[in-house]
Amino acid sequence: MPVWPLKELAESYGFRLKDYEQRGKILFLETNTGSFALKRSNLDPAELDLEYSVFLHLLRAGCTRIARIIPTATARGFAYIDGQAYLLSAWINGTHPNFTVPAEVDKAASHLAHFHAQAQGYTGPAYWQKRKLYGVWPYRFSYRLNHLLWYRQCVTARGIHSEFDQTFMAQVDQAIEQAQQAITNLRVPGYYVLAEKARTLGTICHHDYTYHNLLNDKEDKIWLLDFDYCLLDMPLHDLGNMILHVLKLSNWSPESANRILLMYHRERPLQQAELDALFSFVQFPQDFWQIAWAYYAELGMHKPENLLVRLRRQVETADARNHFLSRFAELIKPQKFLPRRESL
Amino acid sequence: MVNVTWIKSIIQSWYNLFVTDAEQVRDAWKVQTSAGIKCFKQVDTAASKVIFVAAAVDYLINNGFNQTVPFIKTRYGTNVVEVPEGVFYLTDWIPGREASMKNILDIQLAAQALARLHESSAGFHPPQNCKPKTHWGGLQEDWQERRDQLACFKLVAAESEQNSFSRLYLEHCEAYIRRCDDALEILDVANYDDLVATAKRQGGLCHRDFTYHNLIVDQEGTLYVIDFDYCAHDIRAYDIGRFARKVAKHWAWQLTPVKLMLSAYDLTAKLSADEIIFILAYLYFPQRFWRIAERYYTNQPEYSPTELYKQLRHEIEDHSLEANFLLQMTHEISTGVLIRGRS
Repeated sequence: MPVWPLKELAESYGFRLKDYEQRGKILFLETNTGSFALKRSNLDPAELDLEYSVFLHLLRAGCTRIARIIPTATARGFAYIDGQAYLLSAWINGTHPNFTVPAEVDKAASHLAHFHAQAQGYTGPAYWQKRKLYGVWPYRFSYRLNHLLWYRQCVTARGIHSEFDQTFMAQVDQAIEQAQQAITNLRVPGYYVLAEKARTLGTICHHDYTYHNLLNDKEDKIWLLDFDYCLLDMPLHDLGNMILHVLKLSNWSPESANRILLMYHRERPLQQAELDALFSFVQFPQDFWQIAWAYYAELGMHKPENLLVRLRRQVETADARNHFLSRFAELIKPQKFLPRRESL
Repeated sequence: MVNVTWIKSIIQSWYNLFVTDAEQVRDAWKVQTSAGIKCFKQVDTAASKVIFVAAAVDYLINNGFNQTVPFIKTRYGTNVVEVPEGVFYLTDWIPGREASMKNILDIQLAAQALARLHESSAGFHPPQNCKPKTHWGGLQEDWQERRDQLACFKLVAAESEQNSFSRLYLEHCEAYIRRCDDALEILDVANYDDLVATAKRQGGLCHRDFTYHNLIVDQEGTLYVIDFDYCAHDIRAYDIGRFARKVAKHWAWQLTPVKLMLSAYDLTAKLSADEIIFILAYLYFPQRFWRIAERYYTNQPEYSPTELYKQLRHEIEDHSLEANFLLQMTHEISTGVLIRGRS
């Protein structure tokens, strides 16, 4: 582990260091201007500038319960020392919620809705294109679908060489079918209208909304950390990711997805078109694609054994996932989810 | 947790101000910084409400109300600091003394400041990113509910074992319930709904905590209004009524100081007949009596029964003076001599 250039950091941030301690990947700092968390960042400077400007926007938009990024003396959101970027943020005492406890998931779901209600109005600079995902879901999904089609074709042509190939081929037909369905269901006016609305509103997604980026403080208020992966996309992106996170912990129990939707809907009412888009988002075999892509495209970057383990887990949970999808499709049918909510 | 060292570090890191010293004054911190003396204050509401307050103060100042101090922006450009320890904001510290309710000049200065504040607040629309604070209308329902509560407490008092609080309450509650009815009747005469509709159209603000400890008179004799934490959209007569009650209380329910106060307000911003009648209704409503009874009979643990008994006795001691005051005021309104220079 390289050493932390504490002297240079103290200089560029203008604090006097009293004490420090390594806590996992981050360094806890005790200074004359407060306690901070210091971390290395591998994002490029443009992305870090962007993270800081999103953070500023959120703070000014009234979303004040977020981990505060400390600007340097020259008012930048990060320090750049010897080719390495460092990010300093306020230290928040608290505990991460446990996403296997339904009550804590409920709380996080309403917090997410609350966050989305405020996280909008951003008009970003041009280099945002990379992270501007309004209306690109069908495009991105079909791009990934093409990967799957291509890998299937290749493996068929060259023959099965490994256990991974075999497991992949056993699953790929179903994955392709689900991907095609998801894309067809997204290519509807409803989705594009939502995307256009989100674009005009300038909505922001956290894009890593899960337990390790949430903190409950002493008074049980939720603080949101780490905007490294923030995106400009419809709030559904966060909601979909959160549902997927929780489902993987609860082995695809339809009930837990239902609860998240309920809690979210209470704070920020969902429309039918949003529910439909959300279903397609959840239906798309994202994990399956990711593993296949890592195996066939990112050669040498991952250990094949690990990928095989991950793929096997996919196979094991496939039934539970399919069961969940059929129940979820029922749940969000028009006149099913929405009118029931009105009685709340 | 919130101590001098902590205050120093938080101001340094949020405002880039070097703090040499800090001391607690009432519920605020008086902070000596590299850029002069500042006031750092914790609020017990949500940050989104403070955003409303900051926007309101900014609007007042931009609209020519110079008798208050703006929020100082953090280095992030926000008006409010939220940390796990609470929600805070920073303003300049106004050197001076608190206004004295015993000083009729202070009262008149305050009334004029209040009038200017109300005038400058017209047309305020809260920004998108905050929780709007509005109290439009609903006073009839509130008062009716409180009146019913008083009647309900009467039954409770009769049932409960004869303790000194209940005995005292039973003896006097009838008169106070009658006053509630009077207040509701006068509120009707004041065309309360029209007042609300007009104020809604104009979008005016109320301070809602306009009293001596939020009024600072500096060495030149300028009066400053501070602490807009409770400000909200409401009819301006609410503020005036509330202030009138404070004044009357400090002057043992004499009418003259209230008259002088109202005249001073009226000089700066004309009061309509309906508004004056509303103020009368407001004074008729026995807010304090209800509050004490409510605290006692709903068993709020932070108030001791003996303390509440003392408060009730104190309240009742003033009752005849208060009733006399109200009669006199009603008479002067009906004969049109309440406000000087008006018929």
